[in-house]
Amino acid sequence: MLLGVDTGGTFTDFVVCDGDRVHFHKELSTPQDPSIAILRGIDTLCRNKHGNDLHLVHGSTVATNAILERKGVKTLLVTNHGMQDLLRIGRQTRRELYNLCPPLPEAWTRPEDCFGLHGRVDASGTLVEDIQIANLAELHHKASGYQAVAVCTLFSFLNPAQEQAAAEALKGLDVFTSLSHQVLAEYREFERASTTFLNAYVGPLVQRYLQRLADGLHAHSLFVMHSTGGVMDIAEAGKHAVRMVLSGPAGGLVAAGEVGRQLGRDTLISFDMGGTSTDVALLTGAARITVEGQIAGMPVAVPMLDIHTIGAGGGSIAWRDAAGLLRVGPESAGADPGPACYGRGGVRATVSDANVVLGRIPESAMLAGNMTIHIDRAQQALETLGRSFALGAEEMAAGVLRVAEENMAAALRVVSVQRGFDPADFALLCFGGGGGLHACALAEALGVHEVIIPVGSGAFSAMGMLSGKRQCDLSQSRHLLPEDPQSMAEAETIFAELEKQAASRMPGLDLQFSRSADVRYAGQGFHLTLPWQAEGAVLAENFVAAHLQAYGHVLGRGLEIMTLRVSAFADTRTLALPPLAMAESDIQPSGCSAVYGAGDVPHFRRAALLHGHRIDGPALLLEDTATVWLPEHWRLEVSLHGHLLLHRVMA
Amino acid sequence: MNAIELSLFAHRLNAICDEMGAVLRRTALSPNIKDREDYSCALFDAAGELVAQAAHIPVHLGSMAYCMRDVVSRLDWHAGDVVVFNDPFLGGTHLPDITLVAPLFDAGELLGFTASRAHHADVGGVTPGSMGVHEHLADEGVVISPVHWWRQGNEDVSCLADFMQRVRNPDERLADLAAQRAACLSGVRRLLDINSSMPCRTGFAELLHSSEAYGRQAVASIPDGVYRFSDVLEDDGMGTLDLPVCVNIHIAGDSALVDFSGTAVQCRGPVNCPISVTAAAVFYAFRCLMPPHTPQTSAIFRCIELSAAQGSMVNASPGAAVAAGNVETSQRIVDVVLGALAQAIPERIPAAAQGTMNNVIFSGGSQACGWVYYETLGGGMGAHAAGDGLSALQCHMTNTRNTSIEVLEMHYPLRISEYTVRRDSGGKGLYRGGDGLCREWQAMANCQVSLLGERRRTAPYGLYGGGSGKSGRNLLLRNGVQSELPAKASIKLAKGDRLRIETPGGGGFGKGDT
Repeated sequence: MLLGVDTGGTFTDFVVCDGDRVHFHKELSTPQDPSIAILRGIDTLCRNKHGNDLHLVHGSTVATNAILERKGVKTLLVTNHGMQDLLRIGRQTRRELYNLCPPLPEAWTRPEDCFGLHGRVDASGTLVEDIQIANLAELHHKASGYQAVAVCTLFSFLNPAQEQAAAEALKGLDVFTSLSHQVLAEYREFERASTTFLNAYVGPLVQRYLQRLADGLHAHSLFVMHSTGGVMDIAEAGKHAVRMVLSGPAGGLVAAGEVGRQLGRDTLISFDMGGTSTDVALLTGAARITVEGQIAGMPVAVPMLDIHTIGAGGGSIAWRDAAGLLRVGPESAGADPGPACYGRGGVRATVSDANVVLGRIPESAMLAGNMTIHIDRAQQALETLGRSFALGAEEMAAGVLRVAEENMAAALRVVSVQRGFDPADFALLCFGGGGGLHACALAEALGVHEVIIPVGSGAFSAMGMLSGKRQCDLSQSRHLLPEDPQSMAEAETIFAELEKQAASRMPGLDLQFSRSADVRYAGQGFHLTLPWQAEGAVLAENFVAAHLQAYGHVLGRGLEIMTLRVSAFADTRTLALPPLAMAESDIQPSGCSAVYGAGDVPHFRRAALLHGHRIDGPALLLEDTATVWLPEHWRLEVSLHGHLLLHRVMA
Repeated sequence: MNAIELSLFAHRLNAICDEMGAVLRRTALSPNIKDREDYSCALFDAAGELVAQAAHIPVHLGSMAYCMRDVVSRLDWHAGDVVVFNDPFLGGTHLPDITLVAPLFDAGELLGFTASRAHHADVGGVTPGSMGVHEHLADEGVVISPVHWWRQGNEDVSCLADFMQRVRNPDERLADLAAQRAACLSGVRRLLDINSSMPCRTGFAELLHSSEAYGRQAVASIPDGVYRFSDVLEDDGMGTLDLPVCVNIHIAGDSALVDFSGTAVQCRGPVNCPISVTAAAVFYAFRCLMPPHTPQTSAIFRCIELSAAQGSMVNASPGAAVAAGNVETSQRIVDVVLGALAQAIPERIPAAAQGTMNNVIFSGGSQACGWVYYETLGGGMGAHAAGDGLSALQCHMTNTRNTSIEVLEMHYPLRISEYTVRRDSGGKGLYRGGDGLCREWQAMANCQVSLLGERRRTAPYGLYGGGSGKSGRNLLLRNGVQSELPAKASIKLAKGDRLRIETPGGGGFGKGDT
């Protein structure tokens, strides 16, 4: 039996696949120890199925939350002597351009938590200053007061002697040790140090948590989704906790890719709108990977899915600025007090309140957590705001939505253009709570022709857990020249070594390997990642073609390889969605209500939809925790597997 | 347009600037644009009034708000034109900042302009990197006065021929300029899209009209009065010392007059500012008093009048050397404007920040195969009424990122032996100034280094009894002997020599020692 579990802030989502049956389950999350909710859910789901072999894939926020809430363990940072302030200095930039009196940022390390290691490796990988025994003894003494130690020395990806000597010195101590050449064997010391530090900072917590969960599961197998959408076992996860920072959201993107494959769409923009923020990502064939991720202001340079977060959601607050312009966000009502319509004391108008006032979230809909909707509070909030613009509550609400949708469309457009794409060439795949209310408007603003609302959109990340492959991503920075046969031979040796490492991390599996390389024009500050070609001339040709395609120009200068990458993966059991039954008659509305600007509109229940059903807007589609607004001139159809396909139809 | 439509319009303009920036950064070539993000994209109305801008570098905002009017009124415009310039005395700042402008026409009517400005790594001149100490603008690099590079969709190849011959990396320059043009044209296309549903002419006018309130409210929040402050630039790199920078700020209601009477006359060395750079520094200081979401328009600065004598260091005459005006003098102008405002609104103004960008330019190799490496160093920010100043950051007029030590050592014959926070360099007081930085380079081959810095003899001031930040230091360590170098210097390093720079701390705030 396959079980996908995604721990969220409010709910823990379960997706079970048993033979060809798929069903969903929710438990209230238990933030103090997320494993309680998981074990409770498994107990409910498997009560009558003892002895069944359970394969559980988990999307966990334990690492992410510990970083965001700064609740990691006491960690010692070890760098070269003279570089102890590496994390503190960072990129030397300030966050706010026009703030004369910014508050002091909370430091990740105090000066006394940084240790300088003598010795130096140069850019050729040669140890040019010696490691000192007395210095190592001092490190041993110092580290005994810590739970974790992160070691990052310059050029350790070329020669790890210093980091290995440090690890040797730490032997015999009960400390979790992260060495930068093992966490991320790539150049750029600040990004590598930051990644290594975070890995050490949360590693012990993740190890303890996963062990607790594994103990509770007895003999069942337990895996964790990592940030590239692959799956790793818990021993790996414990050592490479920093690879879990996107563990949950990655599931959503994996599922999005599966839906795209099922529908034959290979260019998708995924759109996951929550209360305070909205996650978007581009899928072009596969989900896109970045090594420029960040969390809590710290770079995380291990590969992860390229998910962009926009600071706008259902809870974004609308307000009037100094010159009388309407603004929406970035301030959010969050979950507490939440929008005015939650009736928990929020008084300022939010995007959700505007939807309520316009009738796009009908009274009969349920909010997440089974809260009832307080229409009167929403109405009051919009009336108050409307007075400052001399507008009634409904006109005001319509204005708030126009501005909010404009903000989101603009952000989506920039995300696409930055990555070299025109959003009009994509379909918008919408999941999570609030997206369905805005998807059609966004599609119109972006020139997108199709909106997809997939099956299980309320527990989409958990579904993705069941489609991830066992995967391990390794890299090694090495300066090589495609035109030099000796360089190319060295690359082969490094690839073989990386593949050997991958095999030792995933023993007993039938692995496939995919090799790639970061290539760039000599001396330039950015690269393109290309599939590997053993023939230097072919690699160079491919680079030039890719550069022309991506940037529109080519240069007459030499190329250099900066980093070699290997992804190793093995197929595992994955989810197959069963087809829906064919509709034999038209779908009947379950009710109706007034929506601003559209008169009385019919309601439909998603659970009643069958393959072949068709609904013309305006209409509201109600799910357990989400509502879809289908405006006039939009038509909804149901795919074979139950995905909703929305298209604009000409009047 | 009603308030909602105007809000939508303003959002769309900002989105266009962001999108132009995305196009520029993606298609540009040089690390200055891609990694350090030393560029800006902006939109203007038909008269050259700034209506929207996405700026990463404060000096770009004010200078573009100030001077585009003069540029656009000088030229004949047709659809498909692209104009290029870097002349500091005709719309520019210093020569490495190159600006491209494209007009927006709809149905034959000129509606506005899109522009992109980016710092280029080299624009010719005597010194590699075009940031050396010279006496004349012409020696600092190639001067491009506003000229059509593209005319009605056709490239004028001769326009940049001289420039391309005299710069050190022509293929990189051309790629970056092409990226800037692509950014301008994408802005034009998107504005045309908008114009069909929301008329730009009305929208620009209404946005300028309504945004004026942000500036006026900020100035009105300052008590009426005359506030004076003065400080000095240490030297012009050519022997003239202690050049006064003086300001009198007259606040009356919601208007401000910022008068630089008493400031030094223009000097031989490159610390002169064209008026656009002076305006940028003044505007920056006032912009910091406005709310974070303030629209980036020229109208927000309408309430500020500048008075600076032609021929003074802060309104230099054409032909003056200006390479460091943008990067050093601008910082001191901010110091004096804030120093004056601190008397009026002490709770909102910090003590002085490091007051320099600590420009360091290494170069070496042969004539045929040379290299240039440029960086600027952060320092301490000033303490303020609510707390300590931040340490080891780029302050005020710049915010460019550092270069990774590993990247630097892989490409240049240099080795970094120290990069630390300079402890106890912030001014003491109730609240302490931020600390500066220490950075030490070892030359692994013979090379040349040019330093353009300030606050080596003078110190960033404290406020209300707070102590000064420590002055910066430039040190040469050669054969075990340490010697001090001046703030602005150009010297040869032999293999094994070490250069050590300690950047200034920020000033402290209030009496007491914490």
